[in-house]
This record gives sequence, C-alpha cells and structure tokens, in this order.
Amino acid sequence: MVYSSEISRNNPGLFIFLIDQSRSMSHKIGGSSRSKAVEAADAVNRQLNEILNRCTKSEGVRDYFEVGIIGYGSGRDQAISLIRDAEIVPISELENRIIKLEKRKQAIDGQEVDFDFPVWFEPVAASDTPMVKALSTAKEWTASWVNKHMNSYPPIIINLTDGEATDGDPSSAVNDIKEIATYDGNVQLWNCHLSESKVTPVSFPSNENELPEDKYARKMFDLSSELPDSMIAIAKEEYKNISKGARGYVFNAQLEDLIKLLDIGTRAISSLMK
Amino acid sequence: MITVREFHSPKLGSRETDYEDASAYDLELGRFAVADGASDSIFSGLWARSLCETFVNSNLRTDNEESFIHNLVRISRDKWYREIKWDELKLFVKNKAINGSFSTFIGVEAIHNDSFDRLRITSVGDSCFLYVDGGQLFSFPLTKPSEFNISPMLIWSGYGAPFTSEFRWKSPVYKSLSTGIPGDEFVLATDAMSKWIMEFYPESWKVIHEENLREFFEEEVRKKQIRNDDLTLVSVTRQNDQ
Repeated sequence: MVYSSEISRNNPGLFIFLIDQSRSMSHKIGGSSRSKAVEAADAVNRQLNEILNRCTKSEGVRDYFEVGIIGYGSGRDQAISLIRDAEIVPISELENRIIKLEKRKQAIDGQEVDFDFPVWFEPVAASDTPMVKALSTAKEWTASWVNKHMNSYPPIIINLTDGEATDGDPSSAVNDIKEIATYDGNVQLWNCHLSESKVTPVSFPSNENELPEDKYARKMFDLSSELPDSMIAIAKEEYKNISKGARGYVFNAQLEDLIKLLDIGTRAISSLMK
Repeated sequence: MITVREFHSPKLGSRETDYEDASAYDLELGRFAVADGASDSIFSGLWARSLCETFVNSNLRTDNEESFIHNLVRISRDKWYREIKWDELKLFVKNKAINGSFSTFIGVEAIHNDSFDRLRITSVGDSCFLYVDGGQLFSFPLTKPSEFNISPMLIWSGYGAPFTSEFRWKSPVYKSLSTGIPGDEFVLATDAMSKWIMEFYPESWKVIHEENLREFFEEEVRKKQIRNDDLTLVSVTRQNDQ
C-alpha cells in the first residue's frame, strides 16, 4: 500500500469526477462572478485538458489514464455519465467525445495566442442532489475497473458538491468505495464542498478540530480519504501547513481552491507516468 | 585511428519510436554529441537530434562559447521548425507543441582530429562526458551520482506555431571545459547511463565494452539498478595504427 505504481500504457491510472448538478449550483461561487455549475464544469473540462496535455506525445495521446465523469442532479434522482455514449474511457478516446471547441486566448511571451479549448460537458443546475446514487455508480465502475487493473495506481475519485445528499446517508457507499484496492493501495476519494460565501475555506485538514462547527463539514471530512505521503508532498507546495494524516477534503472551497484541488490530484499521479 | 561505438535503447516497455535521446558524430571534424530530449515536452527527440546533427555537421566555431551556443540553437531551431508539419497536427499535439521542445546537450570537439590532447566540451544539463585516468573515473559536468536530479538545465527550441520560425534568443545555462585526456577513450552518455557508470565503476566501465548491452540493461532496469529511462552511450576510442 505505497501509492507508487508506475503509470504506463500497460498500467493506466483512473480518474473519476463526480459533479453535483443540483439546482443550487446555479448560485455564484465565492471568488467568481459565475455560478458554481459553470465554474465546476469549466474547472473539470480544464483538468481533463491538463491530463490530456500530460499524456500527449509527438505522435498523439498515449493512454496513461482512463477517465469517467458522473453528473448527479440534472434530473430527479438521476446520476449519469457525462461522457457522450460512454462510461469509463481511455484518455485518448476523449478526442472523439468533444461536444464543442471554444476559441480561447492564452498569453504567451507577451502575445495573445488563440487556441481551441475542447469541452466535454456543459454546466447544468437543475434538480435535487442524489449523491448516494452517484457514489454507488462510481463504486460499480471502480470495482469493475480495479478487477482488470490490479497492478495499477489506485483510482482517484473527486466529488464536487455544494450541499448535502438528498437521497440518504452517503457513508455506506463511500466506505464501500474506500475499501476497493489495487495491489498499490486503496481507492482515494476526495470531496470538495463549493462555497457561495467568502468565508475562509479549510483545505486538506488532518484533524476534525480544524473544521468549523458544521455537521456537514464533519461528515464530509470523515468520508474523505487520507492522502498518501506522495500527495502531501505535492499539496505542500500550495498549502504550507498541510500535515501527515491530511484528508482529501476542502470545505467552503472558492474557485481558486477548487482549481488547486484538481491540479494537486493530477500532478501527484502524473509524476509517476513512465 | 578513431573508432566510435554507439549504444541506445528506449526505456523498458517503450517502443523504438518513443526514444527521445539522440547522438551524432563526424570523425573528420572530430565532433561527437549526445542529447536527451525532455519527456515533458513534445518533439523533444527531434529537437535533441537537431542539436546533435547541427553540432557535428555545421562546422560551427566553438572557441567563443556564447556565440557558439547562440548559433547552435539558431540553426537547430530552424531545422526543428521546418521538420514539423504544423498544419497537420492534431488538436492536443498542436496545443502542446506551441510551448516548444527541451533537451540537454553535450558536444565534444577534438581540436586535433586524430588525438585527444585538446578537447573542447560544451554542456547544458546532465548528459555527461566521462573518461578514466589512472584507474579513476572523471566526469563532466556532473561528478557524482547525487548530483543528478529531475530538473536538469535544458536548451529550449523556442515556441512552435502559430509563432513564426523567427529565432528569439534565450541563453541556456551552459558549462564548458577545455581539456586533454591522458587515456585512449572517452564516453558521452545521457543521464541514467552516466549515473549508472558512476555508481558501478569500475565494473561499469568493463560492461559498456561488452556485447548485448540491451539485454543487460533491461535486466538492470528490472533489478532497479538503473532508472527506467532512454539510454544512450557513445564511446570514442583512439587506436594506435601500428
């Protein structure tokens, strides 16, 4: 259980993103003029781009990773794959699942350069919060994937939400997920609670005492995995006070925290690519 | 007479087309080069090859180091830029290729083509020049295994399209050495091979002259004696004609 398996085309890694699409995601996220739904969709689309970028070589995209995206709350009690016509796909397959290309600009060397930004799914903020259903779907996908990839780096599941589940207590589904393991370690489940307020977020806490008096915060802290040492080392670059035992959890995440969390997950696992 | 022995191998589990190191030499000009394209960037193998081939083929003067490096990068960039079919790149390759390519480089010029009494060495990064004197291993620019890390100095190709092929100079951090060597042989090697030679000297110096190096190093990788990386070795030997 060392979280050190090389990531290769024979032993790919797996990311699954869970995205809350409930009605309240239409409210603005702290630190942005845009809604939580828009920022979450943009952040995950950007992170998929980042993973693809790391897997891209001169001849094209190499399948160092597989990816799944589950959206929950777009319809009542609904948790569905947001990748068009598929569940978990090799990362190169995302090239064929792009729903649109947006013209964006990036500043390079003092010059504005146009580039095509691929989008795989659009922001949605519609119904209730069937998080238990989403976690159960993630559990099924993960268990099936792990059976075929026992030598791989353990899957990383990142849940982005702004509220409590409306379909029951997620503890049982989460515990089932966290018990799934490859030879290299247990599945990592991270939670990111998106905030509307400008209250200071709590990022990667290692102790319940670091949390505010909030029943929801304690629940999500309990449900989040302890980070392996290699991930703590990467997270330390952004969060100086992070310590051993830190959980993959951000409470009251503003836009910047959401992006950092996604980036830390990607960088930590990408460093093992061979 | 000078003879050259080259060995290269892509990292274990990779294909020959995935190999991103490069080497080149020209016996008449007395020039030898090795480069290690950075795997974080793309078209790095092409960039490494451009640097090596430019060094051995272009007859660039090496006596003024700053001017030499400037011209080496300028000509290599032109070659690198021309060889990439920018208009035909797929979306993700295009989005990444704009950032350019990176590579280490080490080049050796024998001032007198048939002797090693004056060698001029220019280096960027952790590819090494190694030789043995009096039973002791010497190396440049790194001298011991602990000096290798994951962030060596690199030469940058400059931006890719939509930037034009126009050259924008950003000087890399380089080291140079002008020296003679007492023995009849020197070696150029990329980082993993250089580190392994240092760690396992003197046995390693015997091994690199043996046959079937590919099988040997595959086993070393499996035993974790050497990092799983592209491996490149150029061994240059002066043989007495009599």
